[in-house]
Amino acid sequence: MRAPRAWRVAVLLTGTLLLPAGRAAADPSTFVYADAGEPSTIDPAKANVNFELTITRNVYDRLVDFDPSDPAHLLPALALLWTQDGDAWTFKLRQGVKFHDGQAFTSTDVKATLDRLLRIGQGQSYLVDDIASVTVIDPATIRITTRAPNVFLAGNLSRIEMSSADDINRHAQDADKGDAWFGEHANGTGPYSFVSWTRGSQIELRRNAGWWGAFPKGAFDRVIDRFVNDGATRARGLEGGEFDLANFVPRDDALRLGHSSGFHVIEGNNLWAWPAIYLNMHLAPTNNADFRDALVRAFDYGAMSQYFQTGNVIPRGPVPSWFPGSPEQQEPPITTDLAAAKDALAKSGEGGASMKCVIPSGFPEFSFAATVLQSSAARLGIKVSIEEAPFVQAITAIKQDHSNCFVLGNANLSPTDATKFFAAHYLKDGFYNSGRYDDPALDALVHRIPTIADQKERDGMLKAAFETVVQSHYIIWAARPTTVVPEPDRIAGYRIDPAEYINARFWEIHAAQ
Amino acid sequence: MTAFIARRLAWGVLLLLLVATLTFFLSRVVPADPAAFLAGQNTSAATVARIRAEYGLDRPLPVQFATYLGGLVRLDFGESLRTHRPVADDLVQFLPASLELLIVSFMIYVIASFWLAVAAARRPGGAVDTAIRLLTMLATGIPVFWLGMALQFVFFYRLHWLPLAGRFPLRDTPPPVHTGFLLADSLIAGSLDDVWKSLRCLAMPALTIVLNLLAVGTRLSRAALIAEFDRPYVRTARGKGLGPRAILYRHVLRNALSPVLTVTTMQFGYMLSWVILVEVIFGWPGIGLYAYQSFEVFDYAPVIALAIVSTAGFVLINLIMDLIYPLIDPRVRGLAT
Amino acid sequence: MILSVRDLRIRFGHAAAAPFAVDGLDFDVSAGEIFVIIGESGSGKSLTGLSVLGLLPQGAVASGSIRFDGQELLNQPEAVLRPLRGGRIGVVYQDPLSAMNPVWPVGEQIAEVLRAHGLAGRREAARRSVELLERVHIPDAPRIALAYPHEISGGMRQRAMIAMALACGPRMLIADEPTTALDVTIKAQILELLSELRRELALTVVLITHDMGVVAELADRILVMYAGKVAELGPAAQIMNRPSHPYTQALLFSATMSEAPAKADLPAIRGTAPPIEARPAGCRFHPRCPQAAADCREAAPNLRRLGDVLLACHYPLLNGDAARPGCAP
Repeated sequence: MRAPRAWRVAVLLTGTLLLPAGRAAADPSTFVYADAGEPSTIDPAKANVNFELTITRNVYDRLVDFDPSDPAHLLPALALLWTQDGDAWTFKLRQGVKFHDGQAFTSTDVKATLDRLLRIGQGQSYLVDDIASVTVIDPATIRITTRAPNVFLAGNLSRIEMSSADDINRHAQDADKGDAWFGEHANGTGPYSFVSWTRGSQIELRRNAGWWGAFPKGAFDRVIDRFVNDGATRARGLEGGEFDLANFVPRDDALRLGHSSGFHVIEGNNLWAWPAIYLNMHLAPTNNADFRDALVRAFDYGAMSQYFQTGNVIPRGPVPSWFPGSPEQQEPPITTDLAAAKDALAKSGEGGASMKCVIPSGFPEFSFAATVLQSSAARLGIKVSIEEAPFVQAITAIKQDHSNCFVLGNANLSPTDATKFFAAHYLKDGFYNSGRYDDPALDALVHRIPTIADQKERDGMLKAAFETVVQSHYIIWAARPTTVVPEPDRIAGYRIDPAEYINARFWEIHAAQ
Repeated sequence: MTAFIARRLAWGVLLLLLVATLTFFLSRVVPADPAAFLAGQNTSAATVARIRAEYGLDRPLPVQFATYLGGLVRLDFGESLRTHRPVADDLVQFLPASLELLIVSFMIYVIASFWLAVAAARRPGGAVDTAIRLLTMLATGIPVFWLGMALQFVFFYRLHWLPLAGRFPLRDTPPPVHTGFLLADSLIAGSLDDVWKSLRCLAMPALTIVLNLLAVGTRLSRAALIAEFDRPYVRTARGKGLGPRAILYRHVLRNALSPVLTVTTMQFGYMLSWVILVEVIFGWPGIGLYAYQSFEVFDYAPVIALAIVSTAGFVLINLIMDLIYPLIDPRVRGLAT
Repeated sequence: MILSVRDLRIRFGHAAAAPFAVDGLDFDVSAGEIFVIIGESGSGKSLTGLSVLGLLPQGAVASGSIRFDGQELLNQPEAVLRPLRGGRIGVVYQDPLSAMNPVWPVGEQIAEVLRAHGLAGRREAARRSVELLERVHIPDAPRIALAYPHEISGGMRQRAMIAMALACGPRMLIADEPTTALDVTIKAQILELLSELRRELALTVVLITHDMGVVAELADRILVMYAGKVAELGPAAQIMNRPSHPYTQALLFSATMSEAPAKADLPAIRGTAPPIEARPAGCRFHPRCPQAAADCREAAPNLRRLGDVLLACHYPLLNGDAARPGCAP
């Protein structure tokens, strides 16, 4: 008798809760970017992950910029002119630039920034780790000396964000390991200024009206960088209109969404290999070059192409064809060739061997590549077992010879310099050189490239380095898909950065006209 | 009574110490290098070594443990490697969000499961009972992440009625923080509009938690009610000429309260574990999401802190329940002292 | 006749094959008398008592007629029965500890009846509940009124139960095994109380019990039930002194035996009452009857009048002895 009344109350309550509050009239001046996670730090000297760089790239400026559609073409930013003279580079700085706190930007800021970056040795510092000294010539001129001549320095500085000497001096005195302030505060000269960080939720930026650069018509006054860890949720939110753009939408969703009404696809290159399978050069059976050769030839590249559906090419080596000076087009394609693989296996004397792969968890592409390796190897009678572990654990496993292989996605953060990438992935002690490939000749060759002034000669050396790595069969470059970003039709201006794995240049994004 | 409370609290502290020790050493067994994580990718071995020393991660384990325990006494849970902030600060930041979700869910759950149990117990085996049993079992059978996503699909994606995720509409500015509880802060700010916005954000996560627990809660409460309905005093009450309403509310419910309370307390524990999952699904910035993200990168300190805090919560809730029982049931009065 | 029961049948479930726990009962209760229904457990005596106010357990189906003051009560809607329950008819149950709600004070449970019947407001009901406790001779009534059931003695609880039943000044009291859980002296006190109440309040009492000893000095008339049927019905004095039915006699023997174990040579009752689904054909008592003959096994005896007594037996006892010479010891 009474229950129906209780039910009516329940239904009424639920009903009112669900009442359409009218879709919150999306504030036209606010842009919401669904980022792949919450930054651990927004210190430009430490930022490392793309959802940390989202903040630093937009709040801070760099000395030099580049054209994403032609990365070899460097553009003036905080520096207007730059010249190389042997191991010294001189930069003429832009005048009248102010930090968000009102302080003027001068050469002392550049020196303090670079000194601090090299002291800390994290973040993007590896791109400029050959800097020997930084000298202030006058407030508008700075000289940077490298240990050896480096033609790439200006290009690599396009990834180094300039903070204020004043902040560095003020906060480096703290007992908090010197740098904690930068972890959650930001004072740059960039197009957007840091407003607030709601822990666990979002960071809010405001457009810097006094920025030296030009904003497009319809640029957003307010940017909300929302932390959304789950890729599917980012996709759903983008689709439902909650977000204006999203970082790293899973490929299936990106393709479906990009081709649905109200969206268009932005497609471009920024991946060098995705994924790349690293083989352990020191643990049997992958320490056998012929065995590795057999795996490379047996690998089913077609399966990867099918997986990525569109825009995928099979890499021929470590450097993609679209990178300035890449030798890839002249190299022979790498194809699946079971007969050759069997010959190589026979030559190796490792028939019937088994191997273990510990791969980073959380990336479906990595798991898929590992599975393809497993089935390809099975056709040679080789047994591959797969384990997934968090990144640090997985890379430690192979470095400590507990695993024969490792899977990684490759991108290069320098727009023009391949040597830093080589140093990290193929040279001795390189962080990502997980299989511990060790070839002193390659080390010497790669280290010499930046010192060569002549571009033709450098290109020839890059070709030699390219071929050395290919011939070592150290890596199975499983695929190189294009990056696909679904952009709502109401938004325009997003460009894929070839020297970054997905990044948003908020200062170029605007409401569609 | 004071002695009873003191004794219970002493046991609680002992339990906390045990949990702290266990989780500390368990977390150190995990083969991951926090210093390597802190340094980030593409850093040199020298940088990693420097960071290891800075954070005291190069010292012997017993020393690290002693330092940790020393900190705990001052409510210092150490520093999070991921957020680079003291864990205690992070907890203060994230705990209210979780508590708010937990309390609202718990209230909905208690009321809903009680209603359903009453409706079902009215005629055991009847159509209403069967329907309730089937529906609640269905809701519970659905994995929590799937349920959460299904709700998102329906109420956000299809109907645009509720926000996708988060504690507050992301384009709006939340009320100034006083308590960290958005509902309370909205009231303090005098903004019913903000209360409304917070409630709408709460709706889906709370519903996910409630739906997942409803079957068990309803079934147990229903059993307790049916058992009470069979007691002789119910016949007495009928023989006195009381109507079904008075019999239910004045007699049966009062007596069923103790068993229901016991069940609900246990459910509160389950709810704590669901909160972690639900926070991840709905990007709810609480300690669940915090611990999950920390755990993903082997950031120990927050995980241990969460274990300690939730254990403390359990101890406290059980203590409160022990103090509530005598209020409900005069027969256990005096037993506690 | 204040209460008249006609062809009362109670069984569990509607299935045609379901046996009747109470199987065609007829009796009348006159105003102001103490009417005792006696029988072993399973005889259907408690169901009979409960059916008067529609308090049968779930699943029990009753047919026939029960009239109270001329008003039909059987299978009437709750709305009809509710004012009667605790109003014109009070009920007292066995085991008052479980029959009272453990979480309310005793006085409150009495006051509740008054409030439920709209006879008093909250405060007035509380005052009257103390008076009622005093009426049933509970010492220190104001304090007991605030006590919880588990805090007072068994005898006190049963007095409180009676006070509860008396709250609205009923015309009839149904007492279902009111003394079962009590020891002998308390039992006597409760029975004395019932007898006093009948006297002073002109109350009709229907007392349900399995204990002949209880009824001896109290009953005006006795209904002996066996396996859902009337075995013997008549004035108490006659039934107690000169039982006509072998079952009544056996019950009497059991009662005297339990009080005087020395007389163990007297024939006691054999075996146990048959379970409801395994009742024998013919006279239901025959497997346990010392006088049973062949026709007892075949035909159920009809109820017939023997002097002041109604009786269902083929071979009734005469003067307390077997009617069939062949069977005499």
